[in-house]
Amino acid sequence: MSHAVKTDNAEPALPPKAKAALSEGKRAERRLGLLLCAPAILIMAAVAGWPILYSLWLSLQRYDLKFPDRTEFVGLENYVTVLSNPYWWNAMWVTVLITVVSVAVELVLGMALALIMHRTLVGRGIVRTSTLIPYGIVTVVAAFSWRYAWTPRTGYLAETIAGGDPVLTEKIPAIMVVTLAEIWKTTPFMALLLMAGLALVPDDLLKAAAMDGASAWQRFTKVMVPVMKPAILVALLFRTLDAFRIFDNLFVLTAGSQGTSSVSMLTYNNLIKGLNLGIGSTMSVLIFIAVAIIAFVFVKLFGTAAPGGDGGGRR
Amino acid sequence: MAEIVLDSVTKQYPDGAVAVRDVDIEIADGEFIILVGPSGCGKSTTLNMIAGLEDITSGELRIGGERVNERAPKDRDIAMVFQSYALYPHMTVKENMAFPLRLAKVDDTTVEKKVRDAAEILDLTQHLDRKPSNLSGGQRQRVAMGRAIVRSPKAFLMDEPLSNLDAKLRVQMRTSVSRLQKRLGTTTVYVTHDQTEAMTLGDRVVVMRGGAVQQVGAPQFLYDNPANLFVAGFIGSPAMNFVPAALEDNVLRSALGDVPLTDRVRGLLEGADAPREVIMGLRPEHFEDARLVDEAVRAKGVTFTNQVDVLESMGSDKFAYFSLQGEQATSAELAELAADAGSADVPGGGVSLVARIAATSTAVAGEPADIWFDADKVQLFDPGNGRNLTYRG
Repeated sequence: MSHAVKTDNAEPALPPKAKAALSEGKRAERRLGLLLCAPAILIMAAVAGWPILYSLWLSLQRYDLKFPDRTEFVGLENYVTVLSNPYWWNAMWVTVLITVVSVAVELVLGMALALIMHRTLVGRGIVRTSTLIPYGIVTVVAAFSWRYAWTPRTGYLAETIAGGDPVLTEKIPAIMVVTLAEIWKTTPFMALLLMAGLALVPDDLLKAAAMDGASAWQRFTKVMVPVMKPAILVALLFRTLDAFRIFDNLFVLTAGSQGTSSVSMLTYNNLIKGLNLGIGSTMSVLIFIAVAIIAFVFVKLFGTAAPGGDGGGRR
Repeated sequence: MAEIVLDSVTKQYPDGAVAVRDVDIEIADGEFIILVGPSGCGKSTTLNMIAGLEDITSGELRIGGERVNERAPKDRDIAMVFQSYALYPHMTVKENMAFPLRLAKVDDTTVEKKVRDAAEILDLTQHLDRKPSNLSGGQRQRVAMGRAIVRSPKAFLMDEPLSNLDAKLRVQMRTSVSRLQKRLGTTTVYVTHDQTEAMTLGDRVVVMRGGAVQQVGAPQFLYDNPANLFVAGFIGSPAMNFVPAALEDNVLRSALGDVPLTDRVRGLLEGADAPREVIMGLRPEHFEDARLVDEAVRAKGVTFTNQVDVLESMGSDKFAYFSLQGEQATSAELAELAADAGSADVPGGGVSLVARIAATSTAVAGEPADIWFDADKVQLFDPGNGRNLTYRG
């Protein structure tokens, strides 16, 4: 009984006190966490957050530096202008074409390279290094070498493959060359990401598949690819986002002539060359939205494709 | 189902290292054979060569009378269970078990039926739609077995299939593996480093060391008649005790006292060309508390008095640990066994002995006890080459 009396006495005081002590500790921890994050958040807000908001604001105005006194708020009028413009849609299709073709080819080539790098026993270092060389070269420098190679009379590719034709001056051939340059440049990156994925496939699994009667191709398609699917999707996401923003290769190879502009190129031409801040900002916001959609689709895809609880069978 | 013959099979790696040397084993149809030995003895390499996962450098491998050296694993019609289970993480239990059948282009109804049957045998029916990551270790192990049996292959190869299970489950699974093999009657080659599994599971046991076969035989025969020091020390738990001894006319002088040579021992030694210095081997169960032994029986053995270091009561009997003064028995085989058991670094001078004595013994740890052992049960080994001098082949 004395026990009950005791608790009765203590009841009003004890629980709130314990609760307060607990939440106070937690609150202090949370405050410390926020404080530690604060510098990074501030810097991000200054260099990323503010420009995004500012361009969003600019995209809602008529703002052309050639006619600064005609600046005014026009709402979504810029979006209507851009989205009903054939140049924009041409650039969009060019970008999508380059993205889809280059990423698809890179996936196949990158997988082949990754398998070679993964399997090589002799001279592993040399094989890996030589595979990665294109990725190590500055894009602009590489693009120039592609341009020279495809220039008639002086370029060896133009003389041998194209038979002296100026391929970079025609729309479709130029896009093909740009895509090729893009593939050459970034396949090693794809291969690196895929090689990391290959390391996720335990040797025993492939041996087991061999014992179960799978041919080399079946082992690849039925065991290796499904197991490394998360790594493949990450590689695809990275490369797709990257390819969608294509600029430097195009800038050097065609400068966007003959309707070969990508959306980034078109935005640059409007914003920097044309000094039209309103239209340029609208385009950059649209690119931002497109990239966000790509990322969203991929991440949603991960959600459904990630093997139900990772790590089954592998330790 | 088929017999498997290894005809002086050798595996040499490009760098010159020989993993398996001249292995000759004839495995009868339906036999359950165990390859056992410490790590690096070549047992897994031998299994992988049977599987086709490693090339055979020289010698011939025949399955069901046909040479299969050059055949790919998928064309040998054998199934394998891996230590890691190697379940396909992206497939359900059902898909995992159906995988070999699907690859063999078996029609859907047959696949369904075979998977159902296998699942029933292995008690996996209610887990068929789960992914491996949602299964316990024991369930995963059973799925791996299921994937092997659905195809009704010529032979099963098992590479330490129970090593990743905890001790209790391992014992349970051991009996179910044994039952399954008897039920299916499929030729099985089972690799393990655990001598208990080797003793309990196999029809015959192959003991390997350094890439060479040491002895092949039924578990009990290997236990009673080890061909050499290595087999003697490897088979049996607790292991055989080894005491250095000197052979003189009719007596064996050792740290345990003078052991008279019985007729049996003398007979076996006759043609053996024994050196003077030998190693005497005694199984723990051949010791007994001297007070519990009849006078008449006592005369047939040797009694010595020593302090009991540790006394472990197992309920049914007791293990008494002693350390004797004097030199430890040394040989390459014993050093390797000690290294494998991890006891090479354990300090301790002199000879340590383990005796299994009756539970009714009144021996007390820390106090001297009179211990008797049967002189007729001693085995003598040549320290130079490890050969069993009292081997009855």
